[in-house]
Amino acid sequence: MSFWRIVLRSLRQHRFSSILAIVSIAMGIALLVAVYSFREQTHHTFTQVGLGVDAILGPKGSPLQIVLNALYHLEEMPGKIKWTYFREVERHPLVVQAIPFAVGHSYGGFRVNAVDRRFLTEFEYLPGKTFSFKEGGQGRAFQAPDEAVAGWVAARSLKLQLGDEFSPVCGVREGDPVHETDRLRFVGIMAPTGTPHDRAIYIPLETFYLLSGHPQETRIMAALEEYREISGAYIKVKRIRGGALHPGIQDLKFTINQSDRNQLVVPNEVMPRLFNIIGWVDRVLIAIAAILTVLSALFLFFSLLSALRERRRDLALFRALGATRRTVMGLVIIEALIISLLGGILGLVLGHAIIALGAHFIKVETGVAFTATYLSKTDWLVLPGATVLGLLAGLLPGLQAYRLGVLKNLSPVS
Amino acid sequence: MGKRRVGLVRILVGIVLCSILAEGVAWAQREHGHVAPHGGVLNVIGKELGHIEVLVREDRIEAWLLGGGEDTVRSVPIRAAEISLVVKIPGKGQRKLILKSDPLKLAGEGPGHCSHFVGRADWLREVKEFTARGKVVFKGLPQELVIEYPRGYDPYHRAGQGHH
Repeated sequence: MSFWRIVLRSLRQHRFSSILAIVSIAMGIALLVAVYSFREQTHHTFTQVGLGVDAILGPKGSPLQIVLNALYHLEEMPGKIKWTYFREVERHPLVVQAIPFAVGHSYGGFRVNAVDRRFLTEFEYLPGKTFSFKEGGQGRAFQAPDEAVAGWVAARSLKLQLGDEFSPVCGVREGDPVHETDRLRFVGIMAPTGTPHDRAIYIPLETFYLLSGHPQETRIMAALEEYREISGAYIKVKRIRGGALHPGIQDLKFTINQSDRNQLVVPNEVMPRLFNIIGWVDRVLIAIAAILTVLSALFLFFSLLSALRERRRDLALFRALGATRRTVMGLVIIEALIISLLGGILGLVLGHAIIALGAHFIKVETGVAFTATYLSKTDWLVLPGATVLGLLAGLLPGLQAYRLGVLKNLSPVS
Repeated sequence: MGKRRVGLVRILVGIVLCSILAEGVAWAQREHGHVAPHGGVLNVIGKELGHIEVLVREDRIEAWLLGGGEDTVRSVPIRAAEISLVVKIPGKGQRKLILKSDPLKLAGEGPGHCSHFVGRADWLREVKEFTARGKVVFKGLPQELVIEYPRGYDPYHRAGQGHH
């Protein structure tokens, strides 16, 4: 009987404990793989990409709240800023593009943001990528005040068609009043971008001031710039060589932040701070996954030890038939390696299945796209790690097999 | 065997808790530093009533009047149209330098309400180190300005630990 057949037969003989060991290793590794993948993808999405916005000009208040509202369509904007101030910032030599917006409306659970038309036609949400109404989208950007466009996720969730009409809700909470006399018509559905922009509905900025339910002072804002207010503006600043942000953005931020009512928020600075605050959550999850993996290695170790006790007579017989000490030790260690490697492979598959499942729910809830095919640093370490784990778990039982006395163990057990 | 396993789990849980605690301490420490908002040198005004941040680039010197302590990120406008400084350069004697007000318009500043001052002098290009003294009315109180460049002036902290 060959070496490998003996190993396989032994695994089959202890299939229950072997499968249990494989599953427990797989669960620990799957959790590690999923947590690391989500962590890396989240960091990439929230810190690297910046959703095409170098900075957000907004009212005084929590910078995190402003980023979450302006970019991720969550929370609420803490106030408004003056149009005249926005125009001053727009004229600053460092600013290359400034797109004003007004938030505070919703429809069917999705935010309705009033925005300058350039957002749909010129704004790059990723380097070199502007919003498209082809390739999965339909129609065109809005032109008239009674027109609207929907992000891909919003359109799909609300089953929107071109030509459909809606009345925006004045607020973002359930029970807020509806602008019933204002009917806006969808003229475009944006192609999917894989960003939170997919989860919003966009209307022309001027429409915000003209909605019939708004008070007189808001309607005046449409005509008179000195009274006009906006929620904020997406700002793109000059770049220096290598595509890095112009360092002058810090001076600009400092200056704007000294004003009484305004602030400049740099999303790429705010989001890492958020991760610093909540970073312990994924560290605890990683620790739990690591403990689970170590415990499963311990389980493997104990099951190998108990299997060894049961097989002492078989192994002694094997030795008597000519097998060397090394061969017997190798049998035990290879068995441990096979179990841990199978656990590692299953863990990888399970981990990515968890990501696929989680990604679906996260996209539905936040519009942020995660992918199960993303390979994190951990993925590359799983199989080498499982090999080391298997070696460590199999080493002591292997040594015990190595030291097994032939004559002593050949005698009948009972 | 069972006891050993429980012991191992305890050690691992201990490591996790210690790392969380260490992270919390590190976070708390990070919150208490003074950082010059423009990457210049911070000099204390009065008994840490505020700071004057100084940045020298070629022949141009910029100064920002800032708050003290946690308010180092806040500007403190003053009424002066200019700040007159007497600059001592090691081995080169004394020079006079006038910093003119350059209001931060986007911060709502204007003439007579300004926290940003700018000066120019050719000799600044050659200078690597200097001490400057002047007078300002800061937060309503007459204060002597001391600027130590590039070390930073901070008599209330240990020697050699300037504000940067």
